[in-house]
Amino acid sequence: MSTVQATRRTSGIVPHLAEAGALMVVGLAAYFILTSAYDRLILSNALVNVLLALGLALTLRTGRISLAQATLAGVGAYVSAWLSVNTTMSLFMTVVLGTLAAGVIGLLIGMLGLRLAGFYFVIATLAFSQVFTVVVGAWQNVTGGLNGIVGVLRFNSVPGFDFSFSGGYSGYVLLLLIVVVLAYVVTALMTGRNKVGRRLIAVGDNDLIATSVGVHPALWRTVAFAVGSLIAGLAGSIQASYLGVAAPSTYNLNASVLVLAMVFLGGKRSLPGVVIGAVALTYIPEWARFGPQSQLLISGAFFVVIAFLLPNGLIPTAGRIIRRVRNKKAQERAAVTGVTNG
Amino acid sequence: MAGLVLQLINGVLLGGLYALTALGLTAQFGVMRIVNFAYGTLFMVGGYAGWVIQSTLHTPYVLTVVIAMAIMFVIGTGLEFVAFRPLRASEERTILLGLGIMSLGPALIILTFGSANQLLPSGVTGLFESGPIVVAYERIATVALAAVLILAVAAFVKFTPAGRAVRAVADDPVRAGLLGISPKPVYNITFGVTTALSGGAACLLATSWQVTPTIDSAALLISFVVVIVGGIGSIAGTLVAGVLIGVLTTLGQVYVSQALAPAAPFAALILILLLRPQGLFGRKTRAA
Amino acid sequence: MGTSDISRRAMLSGTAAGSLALLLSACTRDSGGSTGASTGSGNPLLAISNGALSFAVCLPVSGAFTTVTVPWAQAVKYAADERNEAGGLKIKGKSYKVTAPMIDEGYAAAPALASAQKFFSQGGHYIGGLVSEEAPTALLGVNEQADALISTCIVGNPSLSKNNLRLFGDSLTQATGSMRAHFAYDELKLRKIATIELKNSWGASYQETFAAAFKELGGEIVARDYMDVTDTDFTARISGWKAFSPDGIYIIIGNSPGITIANQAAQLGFDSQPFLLEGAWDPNVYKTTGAAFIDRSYYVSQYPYCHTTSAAVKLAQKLHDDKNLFVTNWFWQGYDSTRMVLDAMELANSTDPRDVISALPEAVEKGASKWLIKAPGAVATKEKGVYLKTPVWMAKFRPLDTDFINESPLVAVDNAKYANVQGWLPAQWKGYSQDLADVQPLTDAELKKLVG
Repeated sequence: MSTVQATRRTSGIVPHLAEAGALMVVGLAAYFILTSAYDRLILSNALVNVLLALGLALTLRTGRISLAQATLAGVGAYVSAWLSVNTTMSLFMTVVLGTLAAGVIGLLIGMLGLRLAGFYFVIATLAFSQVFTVVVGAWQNVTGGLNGIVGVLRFNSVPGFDFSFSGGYSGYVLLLLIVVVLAYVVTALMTGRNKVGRRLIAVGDNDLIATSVGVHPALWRTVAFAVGSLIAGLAGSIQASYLGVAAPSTYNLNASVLVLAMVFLGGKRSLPGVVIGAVALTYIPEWARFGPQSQLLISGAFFVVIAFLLPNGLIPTAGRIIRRVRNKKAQERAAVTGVTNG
Repeated sequence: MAGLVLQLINGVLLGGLYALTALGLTAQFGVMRIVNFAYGTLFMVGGYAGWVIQSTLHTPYVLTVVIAMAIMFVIGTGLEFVAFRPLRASEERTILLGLGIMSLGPALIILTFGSANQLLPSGVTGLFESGPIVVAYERIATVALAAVLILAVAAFVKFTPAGRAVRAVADDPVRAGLLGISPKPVYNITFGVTTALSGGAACLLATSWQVTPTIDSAALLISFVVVIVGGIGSIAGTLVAGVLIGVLTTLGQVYVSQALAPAAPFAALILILLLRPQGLFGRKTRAA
Repeated sequence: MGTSDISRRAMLSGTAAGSLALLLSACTRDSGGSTGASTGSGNPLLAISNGALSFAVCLPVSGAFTTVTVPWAQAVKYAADERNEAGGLKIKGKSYKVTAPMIDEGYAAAPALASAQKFFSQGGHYIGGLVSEEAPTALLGVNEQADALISTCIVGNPSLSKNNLRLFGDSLTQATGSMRAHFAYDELKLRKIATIELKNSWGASYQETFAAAFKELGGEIVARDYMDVTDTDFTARISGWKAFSPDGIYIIIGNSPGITIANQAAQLGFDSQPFLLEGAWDPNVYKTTGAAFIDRSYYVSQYPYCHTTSAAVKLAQKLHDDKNLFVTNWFWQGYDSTRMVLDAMELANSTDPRDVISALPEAVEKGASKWLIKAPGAVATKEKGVYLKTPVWMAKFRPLDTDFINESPLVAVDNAKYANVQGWLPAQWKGYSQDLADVQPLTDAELKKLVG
């Protein structure tokens, strides 16, 4: 019975559905507990960061690091913001087009980065990030230059989709739904009990072996990166809508680096890890804004401490601690009863 | 035409300083294989070290630079031993550490010294003028010093036994270990020396750029670009790429849209990654 | 398969049902007041919470722009303390305390929005500061939705954007370009000027208004270069000017980058030409690094630097005692704008920003003798907020060894033509008169285009 249980536990759709369901419940609970416009803004930022981190985790699972996740969100944000202000398109269409634009750019980067070894791919994404920042800052007529695009359509201005809650950010529930669905999809892919997931993991674990079984690394890396970019574009477009503005510094290299830190912090291979990393690095900088240089000091100290204390991120470390405690208990029991759990 | 010549000269001179700035990073990548996000921060600290020394001890410029480099050597070796060595096995943790230092550095500096620029004068004044060509003697002098440092490093690596040990470890640390060259001290000294080099570069650049708490990101990004374009681990590559990027940036500022000029180095980077990812002087196996 | 399956299925459906239930309950909930509706006039105690009225200072708390932050924050605090010592803010017969909390702009749009929203959630309705280009743009519209008045110098792109709840303290470049050109041409006798500007609409507006007027007078702009706040090396651009032999250099960016440009220009042989400086030139910043150029520099902008009254000296002493800093134009803007808004509140007998904004022009005019920035009044526009009538003076920088507490870093040039010139919208406003005979006011069409 135990072996059957073991297989059951990690197979199929249920564990991930439970995790996704839990996220939904927690997200809704948070929304109803924290009722001010400010709290809900930060909650929405946390959700957007979860999306960005999810997309990046997918890329990481295939063995590539990206320093352009926030930048791709910026592509989505600027495209949808521009369409929002300069055309009569519905909000829905602007978000769709923003997402697609980011996906296309991501696909291009993925295809061009086809042959590059891991480290060089990172540098390529860094270069893209910088070029984007410069272009966006310079192209004043289109992007508003250093000021950004303001006046982006807000969710609560769209009739028929008006989940009107007090405090604004009434698109929150829809955003939460999107996050939960994508979280489910991405984690299912990352933990690999399905055709696509298995290929992604094969590529992430070992190029040579993957190729030997007919799984082409570059192809699947590109797929993962493109999907991660679509997710980033979606996140960026939605964020531009509830902020009401698409501004350059929201999507610069620092922002991309922060997304990477979120994934490293929480543990890159599990949904709880990604979520905790994203939420932590949304709230900690926000809470840390109280004194001279306090935010930089606290963020910096935090990263250094995490680097030393958490080998694989919060969730794996927590898991390891729990396992160690359990093993210790089992050993104690065995010592007492003379029976080992064979 | 004369204007173009002037800007080429400016570009080459600036490039020499870029090359020295990036030299430390290429050695860290090539020898130690670590991704050190704190490199720009340490560069900045080097500049501040120079300023503090000169403003308190009033030492002449060259001596100031030497002392600053010595201080940065000590800081570098200490940091490697305390922070980077324990995390060596994990790239992720090293990156997190670098990010942490990147935030802490400027914050601590601003709290200690304020956020205003500081001067680090070299005492060299005067201009070389010939028609429309005008170059400050100070720029020429600092680039000359930079060239001396670069050549010294190149000579060290090529001709000395210690340099050979470094190259052996860079090539293959395991095999070097089998030959009796322990990687750990090599890593430590390399980190110290490269940090010292970056500090020296900061002091040289500070003569015109001044000492500021915001220079770290510019230094890090320039270094990354030069290292990749030149080829990881190659001194010649760093020199050539440095000059190339210096010329590109300078000409870009003057002849192309100045708003887009900051993107020029990164556009060059992307081009290299597309056409020759290992860099101008790099080895092919590394890149693809 | 037994019990495990059922329990898993139960968990699954339970979660789904629970989520759906919450979602549905949410949908059917009434829409309470959102941040969308404007309440208009009618609540005099709108901005009072916990018995106090808060003026938030929204500036970067971390990073390198903190030289701007501290003087403005202190100035607002001083204004608040002053009012508290005089008995507090008097609305409808009762007195209220005035506080000046600091909130982090983060030099970017997203953190500024978050900090502002936090402040609004806590009942705040008055924000001042904002030094980045992104933040004022991001708050456009948000402040109106939240019934919040913003007082600032920099107001995003374009500087005359539509925002009714805004007090704008800077002088309009469009109205003063000609004066600056006359000063350069007639007074300094310059004929060929090289300009370098921050690449955005702020920089462009200064350069273009100056250039147009200067060229009309017969002068020549020999080079127009741009820069970005992250630039460090200007050697290429500056040495390129040499070929044109400019007799003056116009630097349209302040503090750290501006100082770097000026120093590099001095190093590259521009050791006698006058520098025309624009932006925030802060003695705290250039005191140790300005030796190479400050003696031949002129400040072609607002008066606020020139403190001559004993009240101003007292404040300068206080700032130095408290924070070891010298006063800057950010200091005066923060101090005076806060006091103006407080006066307008008492005049309107209300803390509702919409009542206050209507009362501002009158309040500024009534208190004209006490404003250290010497604004004789304010101009109310139809939908772009209120603009202070900020006079403009051409001024020379005092030497670095000046006692910046007892004397202003700037001293007005010795020619009445360039003193106290109206830097605000000309024509059609009560009391406007031209001191400088050759200044071209905006045409009716241009004016209409600007203010609607």
